[in-house]
Amino acid sequence: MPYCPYDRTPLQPGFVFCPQCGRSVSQAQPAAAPPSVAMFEGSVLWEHAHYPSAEDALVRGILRLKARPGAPVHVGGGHLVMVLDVSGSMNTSDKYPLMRQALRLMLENLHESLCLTVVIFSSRSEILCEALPGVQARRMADRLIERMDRSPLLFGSTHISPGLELAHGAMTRFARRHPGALQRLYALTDGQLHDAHVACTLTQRFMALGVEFNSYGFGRDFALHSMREIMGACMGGAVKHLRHLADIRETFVWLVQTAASVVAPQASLGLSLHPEALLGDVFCHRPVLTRWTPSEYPGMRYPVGSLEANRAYEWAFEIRLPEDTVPGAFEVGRMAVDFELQGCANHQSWALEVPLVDADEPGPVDEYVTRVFASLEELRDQSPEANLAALDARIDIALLEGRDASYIENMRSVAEHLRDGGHLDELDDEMTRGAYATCCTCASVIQGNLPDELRDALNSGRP
Amino acid sequence: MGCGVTAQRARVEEDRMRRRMDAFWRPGLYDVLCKLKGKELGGWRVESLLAAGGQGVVMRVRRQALVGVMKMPLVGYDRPVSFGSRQVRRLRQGLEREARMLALHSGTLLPGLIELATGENPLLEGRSARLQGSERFLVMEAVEGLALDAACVSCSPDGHRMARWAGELLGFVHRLRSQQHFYTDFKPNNIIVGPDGGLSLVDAGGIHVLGQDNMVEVTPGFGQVPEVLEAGVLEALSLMALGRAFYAALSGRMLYEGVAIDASALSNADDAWRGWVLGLSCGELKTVEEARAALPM
Repeated sequence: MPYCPYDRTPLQPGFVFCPQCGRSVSQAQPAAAPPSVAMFEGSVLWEHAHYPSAEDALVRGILRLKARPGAPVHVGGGHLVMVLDVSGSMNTSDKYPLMRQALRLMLENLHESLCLTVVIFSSRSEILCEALPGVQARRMADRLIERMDRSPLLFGSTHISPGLELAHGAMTRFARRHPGALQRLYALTDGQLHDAHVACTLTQRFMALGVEFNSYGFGRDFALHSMREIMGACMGGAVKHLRHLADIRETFVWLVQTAASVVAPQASLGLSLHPEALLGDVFCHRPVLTRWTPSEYPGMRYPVGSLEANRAYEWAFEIRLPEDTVPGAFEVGRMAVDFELQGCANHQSWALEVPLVDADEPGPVDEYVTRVFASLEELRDQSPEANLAALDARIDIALLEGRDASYIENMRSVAEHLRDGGHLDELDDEMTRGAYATCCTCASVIQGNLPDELRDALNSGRP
Repeated sequence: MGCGVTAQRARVEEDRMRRRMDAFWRPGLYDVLCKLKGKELGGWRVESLLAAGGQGVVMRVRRQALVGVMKMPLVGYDRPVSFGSRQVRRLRQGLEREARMLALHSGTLLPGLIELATGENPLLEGRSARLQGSERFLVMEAVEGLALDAACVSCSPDGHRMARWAGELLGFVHRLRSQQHFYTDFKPNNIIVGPDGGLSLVDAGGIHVLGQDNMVEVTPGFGQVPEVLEAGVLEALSLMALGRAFYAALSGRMLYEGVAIDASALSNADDAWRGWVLGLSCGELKTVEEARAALPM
């Protein structure tokens, strides 16, 4: 049995961090062989079945990517940081108890390769645990929950910035000990923030650390716009809406599962183009709507965070073709994913082959691609028309993806209001938040992807 | 697109243009267009931006002592991927056509054509070689004055003066009709009232040539694209747009689809004049002769 090189603690196979001292022991393990097969299955969807040749047509496409079944998972470990709101608005018969249950589930099911930091915040902040390895988390779950229950911070006012400061400190220390390790920060809030402007000053520091930063809006009242501003251009950047409070349990377990299923840590998406082609904006459609403009990313390399095994990714792009093209498959460029796995650089690319024919007009439309672009348009056009078209497209896509019915209904109500000539400002905040926050993965979908024992644990309320 | 402006008002016009572009186009496009200021385009130096919209950017330009108004194609220069060479060529053809119309109808209410210059468009830098070096710059006589709606606000014209303006515009429609041409894009911004009270029309792109053109230039709120392209239909459309231009100038309201004509919006006008504008706006007066006969003098 291998031992921790620092304190000689026996290590179970697959351990990346010492359960005793928390230090990385991955160097002690032989580096895994680089994957011999392509890690991802990718396909390019074009908006039209074909395009006219000999013309600088605008082509819009989507690269859809998914890890191949059995793709090797990143074993280099990772760090999850939860910044949890325990302010007065959480003091209800359901919110705090559900969050408490979810945290317990998270602690008890933390994967061995992961470490967990938990920060709670209200008027002040406190670290419940810092970079706690998976094995210890299980052992300490009761103690940590009890510590949270007895915290003098419970149910004060809502100031997130001290909590984010503590999270940043923990992540900085972790990055020093484990350079290049995956780090994900999740902030959960259920009310309006009193210090959003202060918290925004931390954005650059999180970006410099290269961490992924997402947040959850818990229940009806959450600070959608403030959280978006606080996350800024950090990787991730989604404000996900936990509209059904009980879903927090599945969601927290899912965070652990997905963080332990990373196949491409800190990946980047790259584009190389035909010299006479002109690139427009590049977007991430799934998992989180993001826009990358040509002026912000002249090198055509986009940070896409860590890619997981069970998630589908979609990146949309628009290219103006060169004028002198002939009928046939025209390779306008290549799209590539680059990442480092077990110390080995990985690169996989896909040709962007545009079908060209001798015709005046483009061929039949792929409705899905058109809808995706309509939904993305609101990232660069805030006109009421673009807003409504985007909402309609998002409704269609949500139906196609089988999203939560109440989320779709919410979007429909907002769309109806806009169609009648109304303005977003006239709607109550709850409705606009519900329509414009990111929809969480459905609890039923999560359950369908969990191991049996974990599913049973969730359904029985306790593992 | 109104381009009548004095040099002194250039800054005011630019501020207005920025606001309009931010609201109706895209924030950022105006800043890109501003790069044209001080540049030489087709041998003319750009002094200020006057307007943008539809298909053209309009600028005040100078060549030595000669001052003119230049129009060049407007595309999404701020997002180069958004326009293709087909679109640019179509806009260039539109300018060539407009130049022909100005030449053909010189001596009317339209400004005189100075030249249709060709040259480099600096905003197309980086685009295909085929697009470069062949931009069209339509240069016209500068028209001084205020758009019709602004003129109505600033000088509150009486019925007599309004009738004189209407008579001039009907004369223009009549003259065009004799050549099977129809001006279908009347709107306050296209009708300029000069300091001497005379009228000018500033957009020759609104002329439809029967039998040659298969598109009709109309602005929402002033007319609708007709289903058939016949002389009678086009004449009626032209007169309706003219009536609605007066209605908009006097009331500040535009008759978009579904918006009913409201006689009370013209309460400041005398009864005879109001009746004429309403009759024209709702399409009751379908020929120049009918419109002239009904015009209160």
